[in-house]
Amino acid sequence: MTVRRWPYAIERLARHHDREAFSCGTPDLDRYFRELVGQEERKRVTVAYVAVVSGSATVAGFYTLAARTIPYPDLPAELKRRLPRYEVIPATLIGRLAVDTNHQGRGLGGFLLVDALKRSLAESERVGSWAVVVDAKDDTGSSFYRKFGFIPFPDKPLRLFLPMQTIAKLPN
Amino acid sequence: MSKDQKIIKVKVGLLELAKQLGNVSQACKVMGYSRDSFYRFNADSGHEQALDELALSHREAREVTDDELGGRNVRRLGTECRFEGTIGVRPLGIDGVRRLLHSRELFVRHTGELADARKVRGSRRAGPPGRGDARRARQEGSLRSRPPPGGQPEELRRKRVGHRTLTRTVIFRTEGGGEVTMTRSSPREERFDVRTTREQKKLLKRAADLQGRSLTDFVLTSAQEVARRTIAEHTILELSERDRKVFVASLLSPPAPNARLVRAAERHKRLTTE
Repeated sequence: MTVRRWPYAIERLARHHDREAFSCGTPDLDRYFRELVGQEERKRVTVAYVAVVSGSATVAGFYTLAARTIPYPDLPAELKRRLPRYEVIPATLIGRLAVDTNHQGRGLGGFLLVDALKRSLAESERVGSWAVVVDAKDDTGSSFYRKFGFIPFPDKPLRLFLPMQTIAKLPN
Repeated sequence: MSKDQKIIKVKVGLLELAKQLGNVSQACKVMGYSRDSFYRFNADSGHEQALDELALSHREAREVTDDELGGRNVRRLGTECRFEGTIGVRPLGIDGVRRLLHSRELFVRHTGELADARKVRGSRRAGPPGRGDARRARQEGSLRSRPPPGGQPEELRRKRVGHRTLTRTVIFRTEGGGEVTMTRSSPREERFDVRTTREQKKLLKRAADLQGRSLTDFVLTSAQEVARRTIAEHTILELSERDRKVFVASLLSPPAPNARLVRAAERHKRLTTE
């Protein structure tokens, strides 16, 4: 049995990462990663993490996290008690998640997703977040999240979520 | 007497007079101040009292639609109590007033951020009707579909607002015809220049004219509207009623992670601890 070594490591996006070469097959996502993610990072609205091929500047995939709030004027009492400001529910958004075409088919997407979830969970202990929300680009994206148990919003099927407490039950 | 002392004297005088007369409105009239100012001066002695003054009573929920408010500016209000009068909001802030109303269970719904609104101002100019009068009349007409009790709000509205002041107005409408107007104004200190083509300016000017507003006002409020929406959309996830039901149901009884996710998590663990 041959076990190929897993070549990827997750890092916070930094200057030396080769963003130009990244291509996941979706022009929008590529453009976002090449041109916009840096700006968003600087403005502190998003934090990006990349999967790099260990020891190189090659980016094999990335995801971004951002804080969001969900207005909820008529929250059930049970939840209200747990919230300091009970008109909104805090959540973590996985804004984008993509894998470079050269690195697809190795389970890197699932790896990135779990990484994002675990990171959100760890963060939620400090800043508070009740769920992870994703905005899928299209049906393919949405079915990817669905496979991992994400629940689609009925009126907005491309937006899905997973309660933080579900994530907390994952083996760590 | 220093300038500050003079100001203080006036303030104290007003407060004293109000105490003596036992009537804030009258004291204000005598001293030539709005009730707005009174409650500002009175900031230290608690605004609970100010609210008590409003003769808050009976409540009944009712939403005021944009249309009723002249279809613009004052975006949304939720309201549900019957009371009369005007709250000078400055010292407490709109949120403060909201909290107070809330604590008295008089205020149930508030649908979101307060919209900026131009105060209905300088009502009834003397002289022949000019541009904007129709709009103003319409706006006032709708605000005034029922006569306000007391006449105090009237006074507040008539107060002229300087060009350099942006006034934020929120009107809480009530069942019995009362309204509470909350205003907050801030000085316009910043400026920026804009270059436009002749066509762009013409277009904007024309639109502004149609609404009887100044070009500046039109451009600013329109841009502000879009800016606010953009920002809100960026950090707020709006969900439909149905969406929220599903969401909260899952939060209340979170499902166990599915097999695939568990496998992925185990793999992630293996691969990262290697």
